[in-house]
Amino acid sequence: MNTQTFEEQLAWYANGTLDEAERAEMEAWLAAHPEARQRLAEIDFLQGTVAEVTADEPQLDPGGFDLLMAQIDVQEQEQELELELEVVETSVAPELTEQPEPVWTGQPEKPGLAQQLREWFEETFQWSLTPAFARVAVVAQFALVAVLGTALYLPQEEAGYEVLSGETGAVTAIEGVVLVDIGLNPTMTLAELQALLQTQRATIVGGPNSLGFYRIQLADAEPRPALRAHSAVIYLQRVEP
Amino acid sequence: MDTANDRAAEEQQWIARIAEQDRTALKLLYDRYAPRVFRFVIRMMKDEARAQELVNDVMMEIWKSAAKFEGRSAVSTWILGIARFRTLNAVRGYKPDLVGLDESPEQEDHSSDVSQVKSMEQLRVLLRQALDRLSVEHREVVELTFFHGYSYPEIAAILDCPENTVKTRMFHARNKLRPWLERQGVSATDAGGVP
Repeated sequence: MNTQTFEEQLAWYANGTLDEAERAEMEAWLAAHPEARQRLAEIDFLQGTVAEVTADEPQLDPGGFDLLMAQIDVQEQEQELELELEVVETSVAPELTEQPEPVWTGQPEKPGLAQQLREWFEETFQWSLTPAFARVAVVAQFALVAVLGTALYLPQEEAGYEVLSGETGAVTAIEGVVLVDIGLNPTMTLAELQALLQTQRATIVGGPNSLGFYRIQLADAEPRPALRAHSAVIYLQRVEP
Repeated sequence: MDTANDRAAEEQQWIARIAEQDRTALKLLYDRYAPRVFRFVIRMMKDEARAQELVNDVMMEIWKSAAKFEGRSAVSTWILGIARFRTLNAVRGYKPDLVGLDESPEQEDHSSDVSQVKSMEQLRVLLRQALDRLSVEHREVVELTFFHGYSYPEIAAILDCPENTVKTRMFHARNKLRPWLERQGVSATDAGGVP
């Protein structure tokens, strides 16, 4: 080390923080340079003056720590309040809540269902360019489809049978009334049918359904054997009440 | 035995506990460091009320950022670094009366007293007045060396500057004080040294 270096490090020799090697070199240099003792004495005096805390110097407020604790309490309460406010704002009006800056996670963000639907509307109908009345019409159509679709899944009153005309048979099994579903040979003539009904004292009350069956009401408690044996009758089933 | 290493390890534990919001550990750290931080700040800016605030600002920052302390420096270095940073921010824009020592009007008055015999206490009072006229950069190196007892590598860490800068600042600070000391008749004998 040269003289400049020793001079620069003299302050830390005085405060005792030089490492062993530096200290040994410094002491050797001081021994060889008696004039440096004057500067070391000046530094010692400076050190003593700086290190001394005089009576007229202000002292740390003894209540400082309590004040610090109060500051920490206030800050924590403010943080809790901010968190509560964020929760309330998010639940009441999420669109009004200031959204945090998006953070790049390295993966594209997957849009939500609402966002996908909005994008599909935009691509399909150019939604933002569609006039308001047209938007109402489109939305009304979708609403109608939704209502009708939902109605299909509602429990339906069980129809006794189906008819080709689309009308459901209004006559179902009633206590004390004998109803029979009857299938007839397609080659049967109207005269043969009238004769059959008259002999069996039967009245057609419904049909034909999708299978071509009629529902007839019998005057007797049970179908007569002649009805069962008639060559034109291909199906006969009593409707149970 | 309360060695420097024991104290350093103890302070590291306090910081770890503070990171977990342990107020008792903060109290222990406060009791050890708040007076030192206060002394550093008050001597740099001479504003007692502001110094009290800054001490709590420093401690609040420790409370908040203890979890980020990685232990790459000593706890004391970290704390004084925070204190120094906040002190410089506080005095930024504030221009103390930094009249050069050679231009100081008191200089002539006291120079005329060279022949008079002064007590050590009188000399110290005069030296403190001279220290107050140093620049912030020089004053902080003097304070950290002689009041807080830091080595020059530690001061370099606190000031976040090269070690040679610390040595140079001390050298210049002494050079500014030396003529004044000589004029005041401070000799090796006065200072308790060997004449």
